[in-house]
Amino acid sequence: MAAVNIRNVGKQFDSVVVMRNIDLDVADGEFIVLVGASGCGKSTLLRMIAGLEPITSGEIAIGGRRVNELEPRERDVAMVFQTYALYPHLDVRENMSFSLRLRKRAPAEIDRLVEATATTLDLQPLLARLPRALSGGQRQRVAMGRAIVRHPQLFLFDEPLSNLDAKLRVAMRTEIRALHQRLHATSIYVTHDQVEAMTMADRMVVMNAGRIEQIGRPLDVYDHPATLYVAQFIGSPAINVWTGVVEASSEGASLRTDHGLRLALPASDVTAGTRLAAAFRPEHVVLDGVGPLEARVSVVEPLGPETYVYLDVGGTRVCARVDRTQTLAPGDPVRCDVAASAIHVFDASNGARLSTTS
Amino acid sequence: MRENSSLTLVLNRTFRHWSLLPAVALFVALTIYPVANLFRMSVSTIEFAQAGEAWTFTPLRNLALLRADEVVPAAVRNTLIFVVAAVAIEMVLGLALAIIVAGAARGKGLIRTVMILPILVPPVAIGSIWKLLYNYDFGIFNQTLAALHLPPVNWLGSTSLALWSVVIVDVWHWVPFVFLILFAAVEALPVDVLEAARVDGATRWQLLRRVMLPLLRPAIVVALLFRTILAFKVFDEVFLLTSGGPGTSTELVTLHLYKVFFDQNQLGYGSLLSLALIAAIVAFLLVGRQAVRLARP
Repeated sequence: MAAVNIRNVGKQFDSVVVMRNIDLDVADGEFIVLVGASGCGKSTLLRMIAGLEPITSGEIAIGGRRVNELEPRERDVAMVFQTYALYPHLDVRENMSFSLRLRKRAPAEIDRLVEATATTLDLQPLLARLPRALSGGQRQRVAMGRAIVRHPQLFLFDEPLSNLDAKLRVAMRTEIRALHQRLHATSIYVTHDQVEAMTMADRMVVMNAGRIEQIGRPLDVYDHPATLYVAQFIGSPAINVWTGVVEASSEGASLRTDHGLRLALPASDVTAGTRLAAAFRPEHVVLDGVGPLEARVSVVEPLGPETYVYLDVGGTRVCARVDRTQTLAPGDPVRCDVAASAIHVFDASNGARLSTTS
Repeated sequence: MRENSSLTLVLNRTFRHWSLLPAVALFVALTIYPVANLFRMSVSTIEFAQAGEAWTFTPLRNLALLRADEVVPAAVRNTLIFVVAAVAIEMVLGLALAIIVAGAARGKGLIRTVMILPILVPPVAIGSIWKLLYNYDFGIFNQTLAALHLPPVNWLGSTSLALWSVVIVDVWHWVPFVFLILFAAVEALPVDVLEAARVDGATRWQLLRRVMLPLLRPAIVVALLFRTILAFKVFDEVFLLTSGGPGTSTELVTLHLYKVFFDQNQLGYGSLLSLALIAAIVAFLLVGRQAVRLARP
């Protein structure tokens, strides 16, 4: 296993700069998730680490060794592709042993490694099958097995669960996580699914438009989003965002929103007249019947343990997460409040975080 | 619906079969009849009298002619050398070009267009062009050699070289064909799979040998099949270049066939030779297929 150090890496396609100044340190044995919307550069970064995409500037080191100039085969990394990329002309056993055979390992050792990995992943009954005779989930496991069998320094995952159905995806998510806890293999995992990122990562890297927006442990990122983009990207249902102008009063600063509402802001040194974006998570919207904001229920989504209530607050839509015991119906008038301490404040012009409270 | 269904059934049964009639008639007229007639001719002697043709049933005479024909062994030998050499070179060059061009960053479309040109040129023109290129006195090859102070080469007049000169022309003519088939196949290879192999540790050679070639196999078989069949039947280029000479050094079965049919007017014997050629192609392909099967692990 090995640490990965990415220093000031940039990427240019012809004259188009798609990525610049990427810095990331992955500790030995860490499970890092790169997450972002499609086109944010996360897959490109992964492919640059694998050596499938040349880097324009900066340096990538795996296990302390600079790999910029090395071919993929010289980097000792294993990769799991979104399409699984199994060799269609080889059966499962041959797919899994392919890399070992290329390295001319002894046949007895190859057999032992393949058998051991197949047992781990429940692939024993499938060893003689061709990929086309496997289901999507089985192919995914074979792709995992092909990576694990090599005991590489680093695992790379490029949206490995995106082609699975929802139920299998959740099951495999847990399984990959369990596998990592057993193998302690340094892993870099790319996904566009923020739930995957939250649930799987030791640390997650939120990317946007070829830049890293934030690196942190999932709950830290959730609780302290560094930018408005991160706040909106992480969390489901999405965070509520109101934009407006700061007004000072005797009770402290408040926001006069574009819809004419007033929202008390957390104590911070924002100056009156500044344009802000105030963001608050659905679980921080309190429906207590006495709050200062008048609202009307528009949609109710019961999920079982909890219920999402979409409110019409002065012409804007706000999502609230409430306990299932709170019975509401569309059209019901309610009063709600948002605790000032739960509000994240961002500069409306560039999305930078202004408040430091949680 | 119920009354309808029995009617539909009857209509289906009869009409369905009768509707095939035009296609069957066309097939018989264009394919079965000529081949059947070829069989009939091959066991006959056909003489032209003033009133028309006179057929006599002489199967043994044609066989005897075949056995006595001294050109046939040379023609068979030359044809086999020609087919094996030309097709092998075309396959290797075509595949290499396809892989190189597919990896090119730009200009693929241009190369593909240029490569179609040799296929568009009529074989007769190809024969004429190359005959000029190969000309001993003023052909471009010998002029180039002269410019380099090298002695001229008798490309088409030398018994040891003529067949290979013909092979070169065929290679020029048909490499683009192999290229186009294999280029499309290389372009359609799954990129992820090739990348997976690179990450798995494959060198360029291992990638080609263990991943690309097995995946290209269906396209390679198609190109090989087409080229083999067409190479057996090559005629016009060689006819214009050498007409089988010097001596019998470029005499191919097809050229000999032509002479038997049209110079010697031996329609019966010529038909027998044609059938032998068809049988040889089929046998060659069957043997080739078996060899490939045995070679597979």
